[in-house]
Amino acid sequence: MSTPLLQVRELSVIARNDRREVTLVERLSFDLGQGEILGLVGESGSGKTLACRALMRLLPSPNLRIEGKSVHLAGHDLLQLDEAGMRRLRGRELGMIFQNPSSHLDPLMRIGEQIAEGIRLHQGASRREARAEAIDVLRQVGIPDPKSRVDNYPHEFSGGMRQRAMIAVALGCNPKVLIADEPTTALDVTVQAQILRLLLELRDRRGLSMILISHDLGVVAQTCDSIAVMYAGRLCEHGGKHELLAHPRHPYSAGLLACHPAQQPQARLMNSIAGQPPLLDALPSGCRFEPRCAQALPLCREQLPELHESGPGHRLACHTPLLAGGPS
Amino acid sequence: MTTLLQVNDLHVQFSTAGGGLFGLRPHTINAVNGASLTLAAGQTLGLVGESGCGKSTLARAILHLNPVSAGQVLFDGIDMTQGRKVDIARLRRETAMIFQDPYAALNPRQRIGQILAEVLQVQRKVPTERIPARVAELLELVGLRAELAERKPGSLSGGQCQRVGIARALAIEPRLIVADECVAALDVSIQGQIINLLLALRERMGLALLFITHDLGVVRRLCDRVAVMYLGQIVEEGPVDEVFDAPHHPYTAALIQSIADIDPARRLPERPLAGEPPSPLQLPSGCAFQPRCLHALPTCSETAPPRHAQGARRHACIHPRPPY
Repeated sequence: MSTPLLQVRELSVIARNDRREVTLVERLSFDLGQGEILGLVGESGSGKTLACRALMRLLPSPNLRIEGKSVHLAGHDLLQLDEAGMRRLRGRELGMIFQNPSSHLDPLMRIGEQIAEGIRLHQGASRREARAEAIDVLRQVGIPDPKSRVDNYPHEFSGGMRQRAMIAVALGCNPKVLIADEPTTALDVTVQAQILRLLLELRDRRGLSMILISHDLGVVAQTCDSIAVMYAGRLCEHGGKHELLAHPRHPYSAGLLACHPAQQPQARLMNSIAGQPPLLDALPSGCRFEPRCAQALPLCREQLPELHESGPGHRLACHTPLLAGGPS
Repeated sequence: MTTLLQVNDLHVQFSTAGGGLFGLRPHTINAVNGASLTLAAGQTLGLVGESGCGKSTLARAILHLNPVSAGQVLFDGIDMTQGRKVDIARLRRETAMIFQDPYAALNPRQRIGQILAEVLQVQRKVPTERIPARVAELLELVGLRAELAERKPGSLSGGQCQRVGIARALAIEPRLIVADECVAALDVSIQGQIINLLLALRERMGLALLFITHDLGVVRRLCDRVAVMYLGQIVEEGPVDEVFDAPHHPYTAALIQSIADIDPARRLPERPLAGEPPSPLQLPSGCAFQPRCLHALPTCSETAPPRHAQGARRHACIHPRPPY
């Protein structure tokens, strides 16, 4: 992984309502290498989905605004592009798949046409070429008998097959980076394993880079190369998967890991983090995790810790990190 | 231990329009297809399975919230499927349910205090003048401040709403609680709080708990026994530790293998279970799991699998011992 494929610098998403501004994602910076899978984890409302939608410039409301230094992808700075430029790039360089395939596939359009539409628009292919390409992509995502399935409508597919079809729609345009927003949350566990395996195969075969958004550390542990943990709109820890899972340094990362039900199955009581995430319009003045943190010092209440390089390939935003050798 | 709940060969069928010309010929869905289980007083049984396998339908049928097509539900030895009014009234007084979506399960226009008081009034659990005190007690029991009685569900967090749902279930002092995916909608850091609350309440009140979930990790933590359901049938049942350590049914083995563990050394299964559960409208012949099973024999598609019982464990498969 030499020069990063995607370079995000200080990306923020700001909501404006009733003349008040609330920062939902605050100065997010990270790199994504060729063929790397980055897991973006955090609880609901931590801003992980919003950050990725900001990369695509697909924000769900006109009251949201993107700010930032730069987002470099394939020689473009996405923040400098106009809407037409962004439209050319969206899909072709940066694809996205969503949690709920049924609400992101057009129910009145045949699966094959939904895949072919992007291929025709981005690659200027003819209808016949695009259809042949669509059949090929369906085969690649593991749809059995793609020649006859290409003319099906989404309702004729099962849940797992719809997710495969949505991956096929994204892959049809041959993107360099695929953003997968909770791609398996709506699926059953046995089907989840199939879809995760498919994503790994696509990475190996096509060198696809991925950002995998998930609230499930188990999913992330089995698929990703690196992990970024978000809390209340900010990145709190980012590092290689093995190191972060074995020695989390941010108390929140450590807490999330300890909460996973598969941890210490011999103990009856489950771990949890006391309290709940702060409201983004009433943030504590210091560290956002401080009210729930067992390690907090007076300094934590006063000063927001900045994300800094804390070791090779590891970044952290905490005044009282856990020791690298294990939990304190 | 005394048996509190016994379900014998329960069938639940729904008919849907859709077949034939103009959809006039009704289709029959076998949502629950011969399920049997037992639950002792004070015990926790985890009911796991994929979506659409009939676990919620089974739970609702147990609480007489769904019509039953055939079979028995014995609560305290009395068959509830007969539907006698006195029996059902007793069932309502002694069982309660906790739902998946805590916001949808509470009336958004009622205050938390009213939500709890209504149950107390209807079931005449305490005299009217004692109701406010009992409401405060219930809130405290689930770890909420008594002032929250004045609030409406919209101003509470998901975890707090789920606690209110639990308080409402506890209000009738039930002997059996059915919890249907009651932590699925909560964040992981909050899930632990709710599970621990259920564990503590079970110890304190001797509650029997039927815990429906798709999350096997939670089952291992919370439950004494586990029943695995596939397409309306219970394919395996037994003590949690034994089933997790050595599953007897190939489907249970595949489910356990698919648990997303946070150990990075554990890779995704090389050959994840292929396919998806078929529609309950068109059940496969013979064993329901046979089209996806790696260990299926030719006879599996012809006859229903035999049932085996070994000690506290039961499973339904052609193989009396796991073939792997």
